[in-house]
Amino acid sequence: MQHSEIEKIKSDFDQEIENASTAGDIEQVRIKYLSRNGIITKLFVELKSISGEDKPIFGRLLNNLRNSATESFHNKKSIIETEQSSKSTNLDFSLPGKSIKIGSRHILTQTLFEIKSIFKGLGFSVYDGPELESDYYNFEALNFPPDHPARDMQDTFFISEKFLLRTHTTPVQIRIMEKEQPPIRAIMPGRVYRNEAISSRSYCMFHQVDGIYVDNDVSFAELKGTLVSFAEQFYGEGLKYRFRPSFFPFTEPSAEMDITCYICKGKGCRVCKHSGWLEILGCGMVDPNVFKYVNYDTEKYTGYAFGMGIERIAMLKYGIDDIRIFFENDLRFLKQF
Amino acid sequence: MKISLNWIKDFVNLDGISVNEIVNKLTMSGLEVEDYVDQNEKYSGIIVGLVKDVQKHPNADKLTVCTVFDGKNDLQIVCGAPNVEIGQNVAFAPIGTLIPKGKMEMKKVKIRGIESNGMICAEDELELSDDHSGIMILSDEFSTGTAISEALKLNDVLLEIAITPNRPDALSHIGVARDLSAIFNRELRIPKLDFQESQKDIKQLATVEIEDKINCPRYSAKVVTGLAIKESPEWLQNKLTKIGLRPINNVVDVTNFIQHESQLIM
Repeated sequence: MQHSEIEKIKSDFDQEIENASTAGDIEQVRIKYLSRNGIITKLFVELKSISGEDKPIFGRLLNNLRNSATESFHNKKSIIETEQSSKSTNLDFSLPGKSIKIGSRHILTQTLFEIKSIFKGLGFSVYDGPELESDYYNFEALNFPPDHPARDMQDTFFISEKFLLRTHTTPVQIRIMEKEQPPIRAIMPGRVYRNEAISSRSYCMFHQVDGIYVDNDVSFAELKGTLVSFAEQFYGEGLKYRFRPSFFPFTEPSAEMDITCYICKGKGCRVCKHSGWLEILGCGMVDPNVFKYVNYDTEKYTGYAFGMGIERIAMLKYGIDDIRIFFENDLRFLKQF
Repeated sequence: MKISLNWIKDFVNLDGISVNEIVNKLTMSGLEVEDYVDQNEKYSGIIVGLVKDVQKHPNADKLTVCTVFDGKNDLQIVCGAPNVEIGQNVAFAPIGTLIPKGKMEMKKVKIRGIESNGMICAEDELELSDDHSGIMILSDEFSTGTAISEALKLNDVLLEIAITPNRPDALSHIGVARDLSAIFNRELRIPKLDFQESQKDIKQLATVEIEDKINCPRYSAKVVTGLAIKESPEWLQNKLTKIGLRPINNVVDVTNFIQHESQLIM
């Protein structure tokens, strides 16, 4: 083994690495010099046959050779890889960017927010209640005796003999009155369920807002004042309204509130069935029987209550004629609000 | 619940009160009128026509070209019904009338090249039944040109009333008449029962045994003998048809009649 031989190998190696231009080329060089049967590796085999003082000298030389070769190889390899990766990225910086779609509040949420904000302005607080209710809260405590035909007004999803999906948000009234003493002024929005055939006019699930006010000497005049003020803020000033006698087991007397038909302005059309009026909510004075269930003094307290369907209110306000469209999540519909 | 104003008029005099007023006052008294049909309006323009001639349509196998006399003129009509024949009295809708089914206005049209000046109606087109198998053939007694509303006594006002569960007393014609008599301050005339009872002991004819005395505290029965089951008289059939019931026979019909008159369920 000669010094010159090692020098020659080093310069050959450097030259070949220098000339290599692809990952395949340098791999060939690596195999030629550094693999198990490579030229440099073989020198180490020869080293074993060298004896005496020369052995450590050649050993050091060979180690240096192998280290510098390995380093050169890795350097060149990373250069080639970097070149290749920047070549293979075909970026087109002139393409338009992807905009992030910004969602909006569902029309029902917007309507509910509007209703809430009007009643908050009138001094009502907002309460919640469970959607899975007991027969007691949904019916019995609201003055629906077990066999009363008024139960048929609401087609109910029964979960068991005792539990059901609430058919209205009115049971929350009982839950509030059980916990608190008058004066109470609250609205209760939420989801309700009815076992009805699905059509453009009815759905198995919808939303209601109930309201209640209990205090000394609450009168029907206050009920009218509050609801007319709500309707004017929601539908606009100057609308005509009427309170039409009706029946709910938990109020006496009961009424339904109609406003002038927004389509025909009261002249009569298909939407209002030629009556000129559209029903927007049900209301009445809380039946003393209901107060008995929550141990309120019926001589001391009177109250009014009301309830409205949020879908119905929104349908009337925006002229939507099919309730199912609220729940279909069709962007073409949702984007309009 | 369907209520016929003509039937109501058996129990309370509503002369001089407009349909509109009746509808509004009833609604505002708690018996909500959800919808109503004024038959005079609904059948306005449709008349009794006489089929004078029937010829085959030259360009269609299933159509005929008829000549219909409307009381003044002979009109050429293309008809598709299999049962049209010369000499029939028919329900005829001239140009310009609104067909009750679909609320379509009659227009002068050409059907397969032949001009047609109106339509001979089937029962379904007049919303009298679902029958569309052929045209409606009317009695020969009607004179040509008479309004159909007059000929067929379709001169009623039918109210659709939503009764709330606290008003079971209003679930009949007498029940609604009672409210109307109070609203307009007019006398309520409930017909007096007038029949002869035989002295025979009813137990020889029928027995009643109450098995559940809690849920059925009382059961009353009468026996009517000497009945022949046949078709009801026209006035009875008319009353039932108008409120959406199908006449069956005199016995079934009379129980339905009493139920809708007085809410006595039989």
